[in-house]
Amino acid sequence: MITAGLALGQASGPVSAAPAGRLKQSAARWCYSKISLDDLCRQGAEMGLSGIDLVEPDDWPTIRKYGLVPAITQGKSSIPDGWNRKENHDRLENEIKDRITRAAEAKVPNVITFSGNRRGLSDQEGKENCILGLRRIKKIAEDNGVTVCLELLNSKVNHKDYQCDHTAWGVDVIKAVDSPRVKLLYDIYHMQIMEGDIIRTIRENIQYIAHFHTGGVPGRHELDDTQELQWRTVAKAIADLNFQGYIAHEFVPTRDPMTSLREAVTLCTV
Amino acid sequence: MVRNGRIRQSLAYWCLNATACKWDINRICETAVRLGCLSIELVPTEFWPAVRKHQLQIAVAHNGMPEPVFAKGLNNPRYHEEVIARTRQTIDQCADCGIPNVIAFTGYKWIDADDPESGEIALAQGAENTVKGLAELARYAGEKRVTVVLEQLNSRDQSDPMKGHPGYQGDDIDYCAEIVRQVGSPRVKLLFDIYHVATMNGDVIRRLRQYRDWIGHVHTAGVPGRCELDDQQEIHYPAVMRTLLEIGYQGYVGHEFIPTRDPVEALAQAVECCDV
Repeated sequence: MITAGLALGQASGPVSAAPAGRLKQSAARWCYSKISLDDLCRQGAEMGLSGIDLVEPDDWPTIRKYGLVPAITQGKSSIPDGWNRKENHDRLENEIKDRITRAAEAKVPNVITFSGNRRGLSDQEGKENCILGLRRIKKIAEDNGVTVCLELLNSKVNHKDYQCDHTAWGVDVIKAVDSPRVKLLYDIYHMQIMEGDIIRTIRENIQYIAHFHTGGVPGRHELDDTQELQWRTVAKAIADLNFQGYIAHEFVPTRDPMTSLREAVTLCTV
Repeated sequence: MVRNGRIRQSLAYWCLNATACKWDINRICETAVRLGCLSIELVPTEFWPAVRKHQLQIAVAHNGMPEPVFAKGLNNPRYHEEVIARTRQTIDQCADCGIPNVIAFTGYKWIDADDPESGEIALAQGAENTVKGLAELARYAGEKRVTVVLEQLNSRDQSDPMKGHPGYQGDDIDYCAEIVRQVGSPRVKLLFDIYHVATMNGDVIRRLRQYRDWIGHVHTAGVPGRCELDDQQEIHYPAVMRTLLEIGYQGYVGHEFIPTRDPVEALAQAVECCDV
């Protein structure tokens, strides 16, 4: 009871709640769409969350009110239309510059971005285009201290034809862009579907990863006993690498959503 | 100790003999019996009687190829004669002893399995060759009521020859499953090694469901590292085992990991964790 009281006290302050354990955890707003943002933040802060993911500027003050950080924001970015096509670059550059500026003003650490779908484009050409495009925005990201996160998604089940669907491809892009402010969002759920070998891949590529997402495999539900990964082990492996970013829960709850979220937070408190 | 027994568990001989363990066959068998395992697998022929003496099954037999057994395989026409002859001989022995399965491999992708500089067999060609070889074995295995199980292996782990096999052509479970599907015989199935699949492909539970009709045998090990099935590795084995029950899998699950601590304790934990 004393601990809960302390957590509530922190939540009312201006700074984010101290994470339980070594990892800063977050939760994707869209997975809790039936719950008001106030309720999500209040209960999230109580259970040890440090942030809320994929949230827009209108929501940032509410999130801050509970001592949480808007951990990543999306702006106008769309999964199928991204940096892999040169004709998108002007538009994406303008959109993301605006978003980076707003994020910097509000101390939002990350902005999400996407490769786009292949639509017949070779992986080599798509990669070259992503590198060219992301190079255009790396300076503004660096100057503003905001990290642009290129997300790895599965193209097998959820996002057919999405190009940034393998770690090696994403890492090639990030290496070539060569900025401390342009990195990968390694979605563990998506990468277990696409390639497996999660812990080794994370260890080998941690310097290119700024953000993590979770989700039970194969159903994208709770991180529970019915799915195939041992999340606590994965969380420990990430914490052991001294990872300083956020690991955000992005699964669709099948039971009471806040109970499921609390269980996930407890599981990843390492 | 097995209590439910819905998953029929087996121990791989080499993990307890050709590693730091160096257990002899009797010790391996006694441990299996004590844990409630029903089989020891991949046992050298000379020890088959010892296994039988302990009233244990041999879930899978090696195909009689020299070590490393997976180097020269059916993807390469130059090894067909030898692999098929040795496998047929093993099938005869299996039939005599009531052993249900014999293992098969695609082999290394190189034109000369001993020489990585010799050029590569194209993936599609390797598959076509493997289908031909397995189809020939299927006819013989069918007469003898033995099943040939094709194993996928990971080519990613380069740290230790016991943990990964760079150069192995059938390193993709979808590739191996397609070969088995093309052979189209109830006597040629997939050896679904959860460790190797999780290392190369991931999406383990979905793939078990997808290939339910083609799975003839299953192996385990912790990922990464081919270690114990404990909380130091990433695969949640109970959920994977429950998926095997869900799909009606009737075969054995062979523990094929290299113990990094007390092997008795490690095996007991693995057996308990898979006894869903």
